[in-house]
Amino acid sequence: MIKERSLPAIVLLVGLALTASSAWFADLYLARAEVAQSARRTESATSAVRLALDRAATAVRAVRAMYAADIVTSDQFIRFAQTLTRTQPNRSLGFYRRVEDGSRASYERRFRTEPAATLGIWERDAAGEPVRAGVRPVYFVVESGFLADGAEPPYGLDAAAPPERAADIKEALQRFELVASRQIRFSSGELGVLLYDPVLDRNGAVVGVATASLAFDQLVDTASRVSGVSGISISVAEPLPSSELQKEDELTTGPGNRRAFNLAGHSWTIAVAEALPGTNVRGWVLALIVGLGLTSTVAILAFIVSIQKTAEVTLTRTRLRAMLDGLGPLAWLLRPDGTILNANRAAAAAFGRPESDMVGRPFWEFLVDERGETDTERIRAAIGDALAGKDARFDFSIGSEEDRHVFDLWIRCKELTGNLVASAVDVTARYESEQAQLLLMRELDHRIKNTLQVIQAVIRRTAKAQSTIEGFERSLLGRVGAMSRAHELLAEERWLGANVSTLVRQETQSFDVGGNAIRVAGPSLRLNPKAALAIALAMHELGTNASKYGALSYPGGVVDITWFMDRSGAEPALVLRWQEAQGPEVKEPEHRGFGSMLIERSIAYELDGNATVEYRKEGLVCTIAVPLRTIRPFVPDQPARPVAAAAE
Amino acid sequence: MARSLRVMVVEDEFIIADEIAAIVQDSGNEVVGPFGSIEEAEAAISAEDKPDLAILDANLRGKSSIAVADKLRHLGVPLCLCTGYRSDDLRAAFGDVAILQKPVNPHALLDVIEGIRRSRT
Repeated sequence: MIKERSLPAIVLLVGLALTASSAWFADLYLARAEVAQSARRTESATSAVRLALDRAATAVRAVRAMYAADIVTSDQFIRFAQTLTRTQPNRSLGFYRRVEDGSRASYERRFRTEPAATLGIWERDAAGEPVRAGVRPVYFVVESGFLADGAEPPYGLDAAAPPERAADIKEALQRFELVASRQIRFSSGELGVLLYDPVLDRNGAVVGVATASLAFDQLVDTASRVSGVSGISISVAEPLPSSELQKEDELTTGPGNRRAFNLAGHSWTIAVAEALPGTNVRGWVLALIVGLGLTSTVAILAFIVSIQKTAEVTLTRTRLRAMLDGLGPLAWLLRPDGTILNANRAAAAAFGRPESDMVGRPFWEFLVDERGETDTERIRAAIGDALAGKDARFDFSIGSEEDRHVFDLWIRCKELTGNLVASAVDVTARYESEQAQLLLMRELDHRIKNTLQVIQAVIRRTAKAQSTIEGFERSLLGRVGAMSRAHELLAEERWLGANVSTLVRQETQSFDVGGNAIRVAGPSLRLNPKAALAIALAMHELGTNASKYGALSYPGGVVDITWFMDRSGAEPALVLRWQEAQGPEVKEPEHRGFGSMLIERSIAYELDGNATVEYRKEGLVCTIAVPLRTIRPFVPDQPARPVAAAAE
Repeated sequence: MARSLRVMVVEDEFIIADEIAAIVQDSGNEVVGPFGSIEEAEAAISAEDKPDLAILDANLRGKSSIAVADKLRHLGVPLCLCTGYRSDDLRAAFGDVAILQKPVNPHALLDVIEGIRRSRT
């Protein structure tokens, strides 16, 4: 359970960790890739720029070679330059002739084009207008030239007139090799540099400088075309000191998108702009990874939580269901209108039908009494009470007369939804036991009254027969005692019956003073309570008579009590004989007493038998014959019912 | 001068039956029976020779005496139940009859007999 509980937290942590590490790795990779790509781009761009610069320089060197050999005319130069500039990034190519002031006049005679034809060697004034060049020891006059845009070169112009140009040219001459000017802005507005390469004749004398102009934009275009890298920018630093000039190896300065190299006396810096300025690919990728990671984590989390919830709900449901089905009492969940939503197993079993048969049907349909009717009103009223917040509880009996069940039914409203819970406990056993007890009490009441009635009759009869109070008392006590002993014996046997032998011995014991005057013999046989009482009373009457007048009143007198089953007649019968002997001589009494009358008539009356008392001379003989059917203990196949039930 | 009544006695306990019969006889009336079983009692009932009153035990040898009661009531014979069972239970089964609870007070029984005799004259 603890594991299941902590699972979402673990998933969350793992998800977050995975997301964070993925983002971190991606960031690292992208950053490196970016740096690498930037470096590659910068390399390419730098190589391309250098290539273009080399070509431009080559062109300038070619010009230098031509003029060093002095083998070229102006027209030839132009054709040559035209050819070159098709493939070169040069804006212009040209040759400046070194003219010393002493030979100025002779040189100026060569000019055919304006303004040189008029002005001679010229220069521009502050307003940019051509004026005759001032007197200087040396002039660098534009002698040949080609402009890529097709314009007329400024023939006769002293290119070294502006002091910074003079400085650059001087630098080239001093170094004796190709030198770039400072970064300048051309009259067209473009940024760029001029390249100067000193031209010497065979004797080593300087005849002029070959020159080319390069526009950075053009250089960048060429480099971009060659390298495929866009966003290249070029800058040229101030002239390097001589000591640095030989170091043309590349050196990286600043970030990865910048390269610098030394060329033509300057440090050139090539910078490449970001591939997609304004687009933060890395940021987007990271955002995507983090977003996806978090989304997946949350999704997995939600999935796990939902699975856990479902499992929890299922478990809870299963447990509740098991609990409900395990309940002994019947239970239903009802809608407020009394239709069944759920029934537990006990409820289904009690009505012998599956829960699915009960669901959706009115609750009271199942509570059918022995008449096949149902007290709908009572149940509806109970449901109304329950909905009003009062628990309704009552006993309810259902089923047939043979299979009746009494339920202690509760209907309560305990749910927020307004549904009702009905539960019922089968109290049939309690009911039946209460009923049985009631029956028993009534039966007892009946027997006591009956016994009192018998005693009342005995009292009256005894009173009539006895002439003295003492005689009445003795006789009555004897009879009541006999009845009492018989009751006692029957009670011991739970009123199921009594053994003849036991009954006879118990009843005659008190008359046998010596202990051997009465002999009892007969087979074992059980008598029902009625027969037992009648025979006990008979034994008492005979015993009383024998003690007063018969064998038991005389020393040596004996009584034989024997019985057997006589199966010779129409139906089996018990024959019990009381035979007195060795007593005084017996005479027939003048009138029969209550005792003998009781014996003879009660046996006949109550047991359908017959009893005879014979006063033989040698001793009294009483023979009692009763059919087995009236004395046999009845086997109770059903508990005794009250007279009302028996009367039906 | 009222004539004597013929009173049928149906009771399974001999001593009680004999006692009731004695009370009836002592009051100068004639006893029909006593009968100790349903069968004997039923056999003794006839329209030509019906008793003026029947004193019945409610239960004879485990059987209800309602059949005897119905037969007598059909003939218009007044009934008096002598019983140890509760009157409520008996009324449910026997209807509206005179009931004497055991042990029966002989005077109460005589009053019932006397009441019937008066109504006959």
